[in-house]
Amino acid sequence: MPVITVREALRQALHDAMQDERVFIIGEDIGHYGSTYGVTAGFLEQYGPERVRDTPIAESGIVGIAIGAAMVGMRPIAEIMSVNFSLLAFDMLFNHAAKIYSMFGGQITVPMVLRTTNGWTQLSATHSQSFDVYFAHMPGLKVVAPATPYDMKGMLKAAIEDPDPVVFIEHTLMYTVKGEVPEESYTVPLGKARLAREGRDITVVTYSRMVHLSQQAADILARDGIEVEIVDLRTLRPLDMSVAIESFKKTNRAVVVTEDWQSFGTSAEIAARLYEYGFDYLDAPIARVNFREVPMPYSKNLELQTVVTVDRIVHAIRKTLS
Amino acid sequence: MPDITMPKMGFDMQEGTIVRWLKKPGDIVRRGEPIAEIETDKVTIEIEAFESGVLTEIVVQEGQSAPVNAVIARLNGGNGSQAPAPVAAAPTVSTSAEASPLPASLPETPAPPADVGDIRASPLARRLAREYGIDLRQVRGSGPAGRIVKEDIEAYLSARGGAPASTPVSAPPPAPTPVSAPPPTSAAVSAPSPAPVAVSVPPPVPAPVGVAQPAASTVVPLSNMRKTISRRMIQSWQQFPHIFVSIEVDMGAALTLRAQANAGRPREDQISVNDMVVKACAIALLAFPNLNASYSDEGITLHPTVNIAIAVALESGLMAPVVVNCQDRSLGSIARETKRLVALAREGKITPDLLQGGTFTVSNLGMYGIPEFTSIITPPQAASLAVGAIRRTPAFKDDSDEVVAKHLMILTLSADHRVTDGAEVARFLNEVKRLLEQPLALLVG
Repeated sequence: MPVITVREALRQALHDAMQDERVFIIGEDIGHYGSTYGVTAGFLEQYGPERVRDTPIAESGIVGIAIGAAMVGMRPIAEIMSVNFSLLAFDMLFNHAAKIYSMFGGQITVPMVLRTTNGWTQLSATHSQSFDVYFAHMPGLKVVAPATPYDMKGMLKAAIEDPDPVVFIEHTLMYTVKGEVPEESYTVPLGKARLAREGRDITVVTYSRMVHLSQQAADILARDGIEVEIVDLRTLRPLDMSVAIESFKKTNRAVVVTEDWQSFGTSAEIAARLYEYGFDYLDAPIARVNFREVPMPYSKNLELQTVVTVDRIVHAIRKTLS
Repeated sequence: MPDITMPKMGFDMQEGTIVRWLKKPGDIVRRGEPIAEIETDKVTIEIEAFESGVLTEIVVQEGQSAPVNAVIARLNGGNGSQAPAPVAAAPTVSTSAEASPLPASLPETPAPPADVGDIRASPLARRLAREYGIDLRQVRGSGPAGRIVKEDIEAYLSARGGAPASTPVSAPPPAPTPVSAPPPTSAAVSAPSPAPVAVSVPPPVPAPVGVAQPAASTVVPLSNMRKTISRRMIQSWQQFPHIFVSIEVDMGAALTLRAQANAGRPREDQISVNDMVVKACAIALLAFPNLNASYSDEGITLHPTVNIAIAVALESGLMAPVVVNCQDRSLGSIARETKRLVALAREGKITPDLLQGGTFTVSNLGMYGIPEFTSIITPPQAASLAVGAIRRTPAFKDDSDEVVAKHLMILTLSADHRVTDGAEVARFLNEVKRLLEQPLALLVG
């Protein structure tokens, strides 16, 4: 099976989707510029300006156009270059995309996908955020944040085929992550978690880029004979906790690793469900590893003190096992 | 900051002396853990913390005395409680004059609350402890701040013998053996054959440990122990016509003798008032074989040995280990055997054979200051003695009009009226009274 990057996996999924005439791509710098992270490079040339539409810097408009198009039967793929800019489109997403299906009595669906990216690397406070929890908080949206090239391709395809608005969260630091991906078209169902690593001692529940950091932490701990089991949630809404709960019942201890602020964050919801459904199996408080609760510093040293690192995950696991 | 105060250990206790601190400032104290030994005018006893926290200050040093309710140490509230932290008599001590033995046969036995809520233990450890009938207070926690975790439960289980012990044991049927040697004489009593009596004592089954109860009323499922107690007590109460007869005993001489006997004896070898009562019963029962017996439709089985069950309250419920062959034991032997059995019971190491074969039961609520009470007979025994507290009471001296302070204690015998009658019970109690009031007889009998 070919080994390709996340970027290439996404490109394959998009090319695959473009076979459907209803699908078009809309966003900033996706056409002539070839997109900020290179995912849609060459698409304008291949599919033309009707289906690969550059827009002004107008996030609300991008999402609004996608919603309207989806309501009349298109399959739009909107791209918001950085999730930080999605704040400008929240009214469109939350008050329209998420609610049209239920407010119109189920007569109209909004089968759109919003691709966007988390990430940081000296981008400073306003460009280094993660709003996973905002999206996942909203009934009516589906929120996907895969970790591997295989899941990226299969879940983007599934998101495009899904009848509901799907927020598809990528990560600027993951586009070069490699993995085995079949050449043929396939889908990976939304709302299904997966076991990313088997182990008997502790469960790490995580998703997106943190799956990879957790794997590195697990490799380090394996040298000391500590077997870490890793659950990749893959989808935040609907949240499938069955794999994590099963794992937790085996290990009785858990660390939740998410790349966002801790207070009221995704890790709070995940930990709450572990407590709720795993209470009688709980042998130690559930630890969480997240961003430090400050606006992201620009200084590289301070930034590295703020983000989640492999060391912090290792430390949290050891502490939870003590 | 909860204060630890000098507990009132006996009805007439005014002050106590700290013999030894078992904790030093800075130590973590867990609720239920012994923290100090105190000495009253009667006893030396361990006291245990009612609250968890860190011992921050010792107010009364070793060797010093303090009045009841005076602050002897301070805890800085590990659980955030603002309530004062009184201390309770550690029920583990059996050297107390009034401590340890508790009624076996009261259905509403006031066993210490099975509340382990303040012990640090993970939910998983709590659940496992519930399932295996483990008293969490017996388990050492290896987690942060002494938290008990699954591993500690597993270690405890494997140390205990691996088995998920205390599986519910159904009470053995009350099968009084028909008398094979019929003549109800003292000869039969001294026959050295083993006691073939199956005495059903509640087995050491798990009781649900304290979980936080919601405000609304809830139905707590019956533990197997409660079911057993319920069944046995109903059987006794419905089928055994009880008579209750009380007598007052002047324990002055017994206390003096006990003080003399205990002087210089190691603590673990000390004799309690309860031991003296047991010894007096053992002697008296030789003269009253009808009260060391079991009723059945075939006849009254007179047991050849005097095996006295001592009711002991436990975290997980109640059990009554049996001091066998009391007729052949010295007072010291009874004391040692009782202490051994109580310790085994508290450690969860008691085995069923140590709970069987009782022919008579002694229950004691003296440690609670209860002046008198009645107990329900444990089938298939014929009698059960309820021992009240020793109370310093104004009383006439002999036949004069002079009022003096006496140490009085009330004994109440519950007896099976099918086996015996009030007059015989009265004579038996008078004999027990005589033995306790002229206690040298306990040493030679």
